Amino acid sequence: MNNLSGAAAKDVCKIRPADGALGRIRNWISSLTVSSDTECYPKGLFILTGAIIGITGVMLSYWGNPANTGFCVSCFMENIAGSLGLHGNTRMQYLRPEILGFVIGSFLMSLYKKEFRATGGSSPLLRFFVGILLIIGCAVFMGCPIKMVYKIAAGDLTAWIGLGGLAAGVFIGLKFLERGFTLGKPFEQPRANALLIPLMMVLMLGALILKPGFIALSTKGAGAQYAPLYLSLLAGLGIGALAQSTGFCITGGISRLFMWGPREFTFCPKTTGLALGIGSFFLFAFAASILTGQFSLGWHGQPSSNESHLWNFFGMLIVGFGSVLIKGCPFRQLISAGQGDTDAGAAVLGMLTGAALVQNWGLGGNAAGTPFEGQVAVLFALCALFAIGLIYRRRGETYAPEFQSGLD
Amino acid sequence: MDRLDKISGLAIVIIIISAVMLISSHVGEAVPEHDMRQKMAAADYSVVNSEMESGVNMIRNLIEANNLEKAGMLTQELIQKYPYEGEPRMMMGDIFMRRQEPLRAVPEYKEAVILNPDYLDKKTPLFQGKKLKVAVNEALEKIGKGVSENADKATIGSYKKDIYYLQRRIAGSCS
Repeated sequence: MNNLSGAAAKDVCKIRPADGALGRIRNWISSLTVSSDTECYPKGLFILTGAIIGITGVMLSYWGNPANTGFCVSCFMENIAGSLGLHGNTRMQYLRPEILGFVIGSFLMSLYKKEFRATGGSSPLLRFFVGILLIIGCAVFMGCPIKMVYKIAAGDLTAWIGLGGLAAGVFIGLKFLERGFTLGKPFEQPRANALLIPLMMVLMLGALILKPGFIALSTKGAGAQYAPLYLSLLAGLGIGALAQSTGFCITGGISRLFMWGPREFTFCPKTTGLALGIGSFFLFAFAASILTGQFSLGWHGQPSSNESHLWNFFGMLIVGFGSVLIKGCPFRQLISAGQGDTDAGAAVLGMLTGAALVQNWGLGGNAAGTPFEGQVAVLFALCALFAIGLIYRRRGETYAPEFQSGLD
Repeated sequence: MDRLDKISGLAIVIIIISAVMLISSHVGEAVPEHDMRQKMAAADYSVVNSEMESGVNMIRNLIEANNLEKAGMLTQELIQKYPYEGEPRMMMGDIFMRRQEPLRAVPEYKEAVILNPDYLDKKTPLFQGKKLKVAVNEALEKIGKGVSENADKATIGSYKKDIYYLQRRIAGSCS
């Protein structure tokens, strides 16, 4: 597997020195930490991305978002689904500007860097389905991989079980990739297709600002806990733009460790960057949690946690497994959708559908534990992912071209 | 059929068997989650009942006057009469706290919070998070001091389960 990395690193090299004010700032930051052979993946930018996700997430919780939920793709998707009337939980209805910002930020950055490419056609319906499963897994664990890091950084020891599950899921998923799993090579699409998801987010942002009658907004419960709109939006836009530039992804980082081994953290610039980004995310979130008084080390009594550890493990296993199969975690799907990937757009719509189902069918974990329906859903999702892995394999082949540069 | 196919096939079979066992173990059982959701839904649309409100006021006065025995009896009646209302449960918890029995207060508070999550929602006038935090801390202290020496392990486990549940609810959640 090791011989993939060198070529792959060159193939996926996307970051180029840029002009303009933003480009000059980026080049300056990069010049502080980048050696000449890794200038495609400026370490400074990865560290900056991780630091911003870490600090802003903790601060958004401090300024009003639910505890340890500065950003959480699954929780926020449930809020958005509720706000659009897809479920009736009056405590979970808000058009989260962070999510809208991720997509719009990624969209704008990809336009700025001329990397907006309309692609698709790689089993979009299946990706829609896996998107549903991802949110079910996240809801059982009570958080997406990003939130998992916030939980760990805030001292929640139960979240380490989620990390174990996520890593196990990524490992299983990679075994399928290694043995010829493919959803088909994506191809160019009409540009209008790729504009649909960013446009949908812009319309939702408009709805959030104008508050028309058909949008439901919680007045109590988690949906009513939010940081000021402009701060959340700004954070979302910034992180969306940075994640588009760097390819930041938690499952992507973990997968590189399994794909190419620890040595790659030294030799592959993107792997080094992702590791630095994730490390920086954790350390800055950890420091910010302590400084804002949100750190509480312990096994019991943590926000968004319960004692159904086995189910939490499996919930995150589903997220890791599914994320590898569709080339990115829920956060990554939003970013990819913003930069023109219509397959990721299908996954985003699947995530929205999954969020509605989680609420309507009561699948998500709660403080009391994982409900029976959630347990059945976890088993169904696991079974479905294994079946997908089996069906979409080309036996006798190895990594499909679209996976040879790692996850997105 | 290679090794991955075999392992995956085996995994699918194991998962299906587990699912069948899980579902069959629940067939015919009352599903507490449904019950809980119904209760929560009832709390969302609860109508202010003047009869219950006057009962609650009377109990509050009795608690203030330290007539805990009568207050307890009246609260029990209210709990039976209004099983989907959180307020009587909250009163019962208050009575136990007055009696310096935080371990018995915690399950009552837990039930109250399940029935009406507004007790832990800072955005509603019903918010009583600080009071519940005190109850949880006192209950933990009591367990720490070994007050429950007479209690068996299962009882202590049950106390702890309720305490940790309430702790998690106080800490907050995204759902």
